[in-house]
Amino acid sequence: MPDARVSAADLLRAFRVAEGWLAANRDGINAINVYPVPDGDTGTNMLLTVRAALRDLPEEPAHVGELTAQVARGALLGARGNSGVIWSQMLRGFAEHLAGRQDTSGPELISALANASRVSYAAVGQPVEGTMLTVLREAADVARAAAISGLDDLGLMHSLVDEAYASVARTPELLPRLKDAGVVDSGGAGVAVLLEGIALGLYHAPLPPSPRYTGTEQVQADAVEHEGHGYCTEFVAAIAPGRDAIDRRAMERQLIALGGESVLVVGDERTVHVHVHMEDPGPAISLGAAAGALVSVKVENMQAQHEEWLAGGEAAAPAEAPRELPPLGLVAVARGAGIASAFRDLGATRIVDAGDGTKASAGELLEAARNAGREHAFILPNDKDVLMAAETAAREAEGFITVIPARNAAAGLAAAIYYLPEGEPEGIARDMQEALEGVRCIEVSVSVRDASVDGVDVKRGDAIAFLDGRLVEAAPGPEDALLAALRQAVEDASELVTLYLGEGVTEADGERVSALIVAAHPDLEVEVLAGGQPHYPYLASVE
Amino acid sequence: MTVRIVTDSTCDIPADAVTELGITVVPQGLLFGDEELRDGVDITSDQFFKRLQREDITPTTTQPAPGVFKGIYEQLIADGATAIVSIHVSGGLSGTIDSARQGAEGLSVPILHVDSRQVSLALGMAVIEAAKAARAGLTPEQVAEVASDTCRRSQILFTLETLEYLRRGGRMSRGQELFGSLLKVKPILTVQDGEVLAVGRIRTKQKAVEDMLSRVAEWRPWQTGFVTYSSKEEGEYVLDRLRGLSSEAPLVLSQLTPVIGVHVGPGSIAIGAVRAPDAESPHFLPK
Repeated sequence: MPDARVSAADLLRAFRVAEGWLAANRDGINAINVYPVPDGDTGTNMLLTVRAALRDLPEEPAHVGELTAQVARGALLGARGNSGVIWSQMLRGFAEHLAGRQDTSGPELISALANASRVSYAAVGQPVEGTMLTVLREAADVARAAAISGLDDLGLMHSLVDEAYASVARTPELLPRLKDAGVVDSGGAGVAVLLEGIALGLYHAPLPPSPRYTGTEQVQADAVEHEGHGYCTEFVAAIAPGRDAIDRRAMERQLIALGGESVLVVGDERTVHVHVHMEDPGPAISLGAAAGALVSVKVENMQAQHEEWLAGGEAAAPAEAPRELPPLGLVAVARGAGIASAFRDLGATRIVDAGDGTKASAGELLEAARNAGREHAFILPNDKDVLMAAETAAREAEGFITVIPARNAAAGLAAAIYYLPEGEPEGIARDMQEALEGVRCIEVSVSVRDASVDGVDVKRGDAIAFLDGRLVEAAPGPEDALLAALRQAVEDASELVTLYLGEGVTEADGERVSALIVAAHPDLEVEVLAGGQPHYPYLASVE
Repeated sequence: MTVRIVTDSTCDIPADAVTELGITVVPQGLLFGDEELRDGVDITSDQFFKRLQREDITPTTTQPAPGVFKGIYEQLIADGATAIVSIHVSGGLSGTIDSARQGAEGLSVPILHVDSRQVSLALGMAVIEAAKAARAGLTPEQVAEVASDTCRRSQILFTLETLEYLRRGGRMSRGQELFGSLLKVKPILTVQDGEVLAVGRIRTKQKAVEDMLSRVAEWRPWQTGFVTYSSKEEGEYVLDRLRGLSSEAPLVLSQLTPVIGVHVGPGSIAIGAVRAPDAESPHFLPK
């Protein structure tokens, strides 16, 4: 279709091809992680964001402007991880340029990408080069130059995609930490893959036989097909006054017993929102009808379905349910049962448990916040890669949400101490913010590869310790790394170390480490809590 | 006319001020198992906190019996008192004021009772002001009003090493839900409307003290500032910091009496102020 008009249907098909292509590259992109810690998930985050963007679209869209606006809106609320949030901003800029267009053209799409680049730079507080921002900007610049020089549409798309991959390859030159770690920028890789998918989709070109990015741990690249069985069933059930409350856990167990997958039951005692993948949706719906009145039912054949149902804006169905909300609410993103309990213990009204390893989306955080407090809600993202999603949720809620930018759970808990369920939100936010500034946090993990990060040489299998987000130590064992980082963190005024034991770390380990800390720092009090967090055997805060 | 001032040992007034102003302090009762001790008379704070650490017994407190008050009032009348103003720990925390009222029945001179709605030096400052007013020759009613007015302008903040003692004694009414069980926190408490109210929680002692100092600073101008300590060194440090906040206001320093120690536990410290008559009241957890 070179040099032809591009219809809304063409564009949607191209988006869907891009989604599939990103799915094929997901694990490879996940494996690209600056830090040699096995929690890279840029590919997953971007994929889930793209899927959220492509949900609930008309099969035969008639209007490019309307389609892209819908896609941008879906991405905004479904955005996960910082890379997902930035991608959603790119889509916003893309849609902005195409507003009002019935159909479009190759050169106009390139201009739209250039606008996407401008909008994404403006959306990021302090743009950093050598990231996905750079990749889109350089690719769009080169393609625009090609358009001006009169290249045909196919040529434009080639120049766009070639430059995107070339730009990804150059990211380590722009961002020293990438170079030190020996990786390219993962978000940039995601952008290149998406641009390639869109270009190939527009021109009906075949996808390459194997992914562009292959991780060391190549899991199934055909994850899309795996999720494509049966029906995605969602329903909302409300119980009439006087009937027994709905036991969400029990309902989850029943759905699993019926052969359900991706089971999710959320809501409260009066209203539940259920999501399940099943070969036959009938028994699931019957279960809901038995529990209460079905408010709404949605069954979809799972062509492009996924677990990301919550992210859609209208999915905030249980909104009418909670009545007894406190004036203020605290939403904490938590991984690990002990960490979640500690947040609850400090009064968190909603825990967003990223138990499946995916990052919380802006939409999930928004919904959690709306169900956390009547007048105002605070969000503790507790992960630097959830921060932007939280900020997106806050922007959507227009003053209702304050994000307290905790970059890990230890910092988040130090801030949550200052949370009060009543009072002036500004004052409470200030106190929590000050708590973040007054605490130093250590994260200890185990390296999954040789690397040089933040000036520290790391061998595969080394224990590594981060102090306030910077890798500061590599040592043979996690205890050594922790103690070495503590030596840097502890100051004269330090009073207390709180140690959170990760998944698989025993109480006896905790006692032993606590004794080692006291021996090294006799003036400090040490408190130990079983956090259960994955990937990080030890999290610690010093205050 | 001789107006005499009576209070109870929860007032935490330094001994020399008690003597100088001629205040009668009725000791509260302290029980270590079967052993009954008079607060501040049979046991000092230092002895008390040592015993608390050393012994497994959880001490409890008892208010003075009406008969104790009766005996004291009668003695003061015999010594020439023509009226008595009896100012006590908040009725929301203790039955002392009821006991004092019962002890006054049938006596020959007017005895006015003031429920301070306060404790420790927030009560003590009212007692001191009342004693000065009595010396200055004010009527019993005016003296009682001076006491009530001072109580209304007083605010005290406590921080505790642990909430355990307060929970055990059942003296905490509002804000308990702030304190979970997983992470240790230093509670910051006040006495509001005569009851103990939690106003915040902080991870470390030093930060708790800083937080209290910054709150007390907001209540300036002060008529008086005060500190009650369980550790003298810490008390003196905090007093210095108060002096830094207001060089002109007189400051009072004293040690927490054992009966308060039973409810707050070791390592507690209280900071407070009597606000100048025109200063604004602090607000906690507005409802």
